[in-house]
Amino acid sequence: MAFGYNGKILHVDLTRSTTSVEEPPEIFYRRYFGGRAFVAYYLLKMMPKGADPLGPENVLVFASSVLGGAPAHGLCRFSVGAKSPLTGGFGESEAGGYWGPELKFAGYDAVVITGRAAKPVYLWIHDGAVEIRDASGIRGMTTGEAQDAIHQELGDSKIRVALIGPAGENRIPFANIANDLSHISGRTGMGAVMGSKNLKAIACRGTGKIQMKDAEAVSNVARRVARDRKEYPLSYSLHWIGTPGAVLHFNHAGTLPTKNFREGTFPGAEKISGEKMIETILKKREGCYACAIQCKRGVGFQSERFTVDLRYGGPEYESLAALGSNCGIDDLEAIAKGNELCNRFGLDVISMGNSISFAMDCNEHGLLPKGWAEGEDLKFGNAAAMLKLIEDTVRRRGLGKHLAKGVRAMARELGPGAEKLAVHTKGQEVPLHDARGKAAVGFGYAVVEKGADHLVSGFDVLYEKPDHPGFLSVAPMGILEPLGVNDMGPRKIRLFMYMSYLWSFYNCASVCNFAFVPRSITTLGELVGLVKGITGWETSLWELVKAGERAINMARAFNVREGFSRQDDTLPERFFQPLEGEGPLKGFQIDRGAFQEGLDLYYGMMNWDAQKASPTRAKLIELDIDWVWDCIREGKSRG
Amino acid sequence: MAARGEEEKRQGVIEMRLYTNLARYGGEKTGFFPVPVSPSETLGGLVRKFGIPREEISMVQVNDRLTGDFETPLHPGDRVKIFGLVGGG
Repeated sequence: MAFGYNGKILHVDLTRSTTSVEEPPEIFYRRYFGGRAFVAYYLLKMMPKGADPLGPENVLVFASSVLGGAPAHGLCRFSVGAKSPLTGGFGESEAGGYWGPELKFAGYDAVVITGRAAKPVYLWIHDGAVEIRDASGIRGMTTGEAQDAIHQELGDSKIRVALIGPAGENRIPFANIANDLSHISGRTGMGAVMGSKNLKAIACRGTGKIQMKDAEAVSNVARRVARDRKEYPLSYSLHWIGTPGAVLHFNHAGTLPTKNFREGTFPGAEKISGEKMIETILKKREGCYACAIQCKRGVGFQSERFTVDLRYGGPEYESLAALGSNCGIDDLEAIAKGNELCNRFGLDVISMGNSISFAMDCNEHGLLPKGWAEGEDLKFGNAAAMLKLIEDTVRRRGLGKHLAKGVRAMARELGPGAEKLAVHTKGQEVPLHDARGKAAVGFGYAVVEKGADHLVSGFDVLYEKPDHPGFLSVAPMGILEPLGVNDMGPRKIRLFMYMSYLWSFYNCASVCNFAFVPRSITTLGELVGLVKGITGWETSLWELVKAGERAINMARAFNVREGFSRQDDTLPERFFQPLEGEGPLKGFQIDRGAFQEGLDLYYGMMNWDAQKASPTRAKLIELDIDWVWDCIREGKSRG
Repeated sequence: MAARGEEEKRQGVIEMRLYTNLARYGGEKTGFFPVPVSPSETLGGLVRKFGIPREEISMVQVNDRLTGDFETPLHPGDRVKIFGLVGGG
């Protein structure tokens, strides 16, 4: 008997309007666990090399995992993946909430979608049954309207719905997917892929339960965390102030992205801080399935200027900096409205914010051709312009027509001057963390297969001081000496590599980094105990991190097959230039030589070819995925 | 009564602010709050008074200047910011 997982993968061919169920053997689940590894597996196996990301050949995977939905905190996440329309490479986004567990309760571990429906449809998955239903009536609706309509049509408001808004339907390359409206699979444009398949939503409802080998062991860990979460500093802080607590901290450290990453301190930081949010617009603290930590923000208000609907959640740190400091905007209500609009229309707030700040920067430098920003007062600090441009992007009108391409495509059109201001890697806009001040995060931006992502290895501050609970928590990973935040030397590369294995495992196994070490409370020993208790497998931290490494290599192989090489593992020019402004890191820049040395070392430690930045056959055999070698060597679509 | 009046005269008040995980040591206030201090008060003494473990502190600023010296003397009117741990957004 299988514990933890259903043993069923749902395949949906939207072109033929057919469904089928694959029942992989246990070794498949134990080798890959789920999440991003399932994404990489099906992309390598089923998607032909060079497929158009918005064409029917692209394969769209929604994957929970062997742990997903087990009744313990921080095991709710799922991955959505496909070839990315934003980067042309491995696309992937993780979200929490309740949808991933509900998919498991409905009988499936993952859904693999191919083809394109002739007309708008949505999937209705309930206790093993699957229907492809007409979505013509909800076409063009915002996420909230569409969710309401589906609840009404199916007669059950407890149905969990993952869906796209108008941005996904309009194939904006950074369109997102929302579940329960406030849990967002934001990155790499998975909403556009969904839109290209004419798939508006996947609705799930199930009465199944996760079968566990040792439910008592799982419950003991959940109880320990529920008891200690208010005492442990990192989980307490996530609850009380959440990620917005980073605004003032980063501002004082000189790493709060300001004016398109030009500066690291923002005079208006206090006005857009987590503290200000608590004092003004915060309505409630909320969270995900079975989690006691409750780190998410619920913001809703009616003011003279705006009505913000609580159903769409509230701004996290990324939103506050993307629509706030990085656009020079110190208007918290306007930022909350911008965040709500992004969730309502289905736009990734990081890419949207950066597209706006990039345009503002280009405008200040006189780099926008006549006609691009006609009639716009496109200067840093203009909150009204920010809000208008979000709507214009979804509708592709005016300047929004250009913003809807993303930063890389705009910069290519505008020329070398603009390319120097374009803050992206592999075509994905950089999250709101300056690489100058966070060396491992920056290194991760360069090498990570999905394009700039801040959740690859953990933040440098976690590993900076010998008595930091984050640092102490990762000794079982072999991280035994603290390292400075701006250290990009050999020991930091090693730390990055090891921690990226752990993070990659988290993204394979539905594990939330806000519930587990080093960022939060649950220990690595408890992690291993949870895997044992849920699956019954006699496992170890070794086996888990090797699974994480395996998924990195599979994602890398996908990119290599798509033509990516070492030159794609780079950083935006801005991070090689001195940080401007008056903050404590004024003048600091990433050293190009140290960065290239870091790359050489990283490829060497990963056992990858240093020029192709590609896994070797020996590495793939070691990871028990020698079939991936055929994908790399021959560019075959089937391994 | 006279003794108590003398005591108050000797005391001053500083402004203190606790961030993120440290908020729980000061009643979860979001801004500066007044703290009476004796003339010989130091930063370390203040931290002890609030029961803040050193390992939970990442940065301290006294009057907007960064300091790592817990022997720093405090004077009436000083503004003390104590930052906690942040792991990123």
